[in-house]
Amino acid sequence: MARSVKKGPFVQDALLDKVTAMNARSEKRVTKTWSRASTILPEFVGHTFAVHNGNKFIPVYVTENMVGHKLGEFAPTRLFRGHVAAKSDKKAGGVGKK
Amino acid sequence: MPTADELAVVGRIRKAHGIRGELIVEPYTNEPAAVFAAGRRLIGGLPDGRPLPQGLALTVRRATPHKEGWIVRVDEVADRTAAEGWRDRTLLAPLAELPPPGADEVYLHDLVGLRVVRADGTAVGEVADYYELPHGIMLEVRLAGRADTVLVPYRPEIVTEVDTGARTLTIDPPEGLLE
Repeated sequence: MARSVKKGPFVQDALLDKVTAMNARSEKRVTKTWSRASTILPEFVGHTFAVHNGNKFIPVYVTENMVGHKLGEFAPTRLFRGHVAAKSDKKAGGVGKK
Repeated sequence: MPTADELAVVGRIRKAHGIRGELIVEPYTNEPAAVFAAGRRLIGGLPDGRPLPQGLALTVRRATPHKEGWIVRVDEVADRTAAEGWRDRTLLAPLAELPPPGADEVYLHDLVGLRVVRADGTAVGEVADYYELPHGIMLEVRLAGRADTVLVPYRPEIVTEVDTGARTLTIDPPEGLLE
């Protein structure tokens, strides 16, 4: 059953306090959290969270399209290590290239 | 026949599909529609990405998207029995025939081994591996002088420049990312 709208989205209080304080100081530092169930709020955009996956902390850089999702969705509890060692045609973009 | 260095893996065959020799292929390319277009010649490869010793060429007859993969029919695989033999094999294509990387794109395999530095030139470590997570690429960086690794999101806000010629990757990490 979905969470009651009246309550609003769940965010761990301590996490929200940390982000609010960082936003007030215009500061960007990695925030460690175990709260995978916390909902990503618009205030979190541009911050990096180190979300625990049960084993280690996975850095999650929050962008606008992540708002409304839970932090845990972006820190998988298993890391797939199976890609082929050979060259593949997969490319990554969006970063300045020389 | 191109050499192994001139080939790139474009897909991995997961399993056979149906009774007509169709194959379920997990694409290893950003442009599967172009790479698996009808009439395209592909080369069969071993599970580790090397081409088959006999250099078997495959001609795509038809390809359609299917869930997270593609259903590919090739002329050389006639029935399900033959298709079963292709399980876990790879499909390769000559790099020269593939769309080249865009102005701001790099091949993911080129990222492995890059020296990671800060904007002021301070050495951070070396890219040991990469992961494709739901929200993008994550680099595993082995820190200089340490045995452990840290994960660095491949985001323009953090990775500021990639220089494949000089084999360096410049990062501007937020405080606490490399701890």
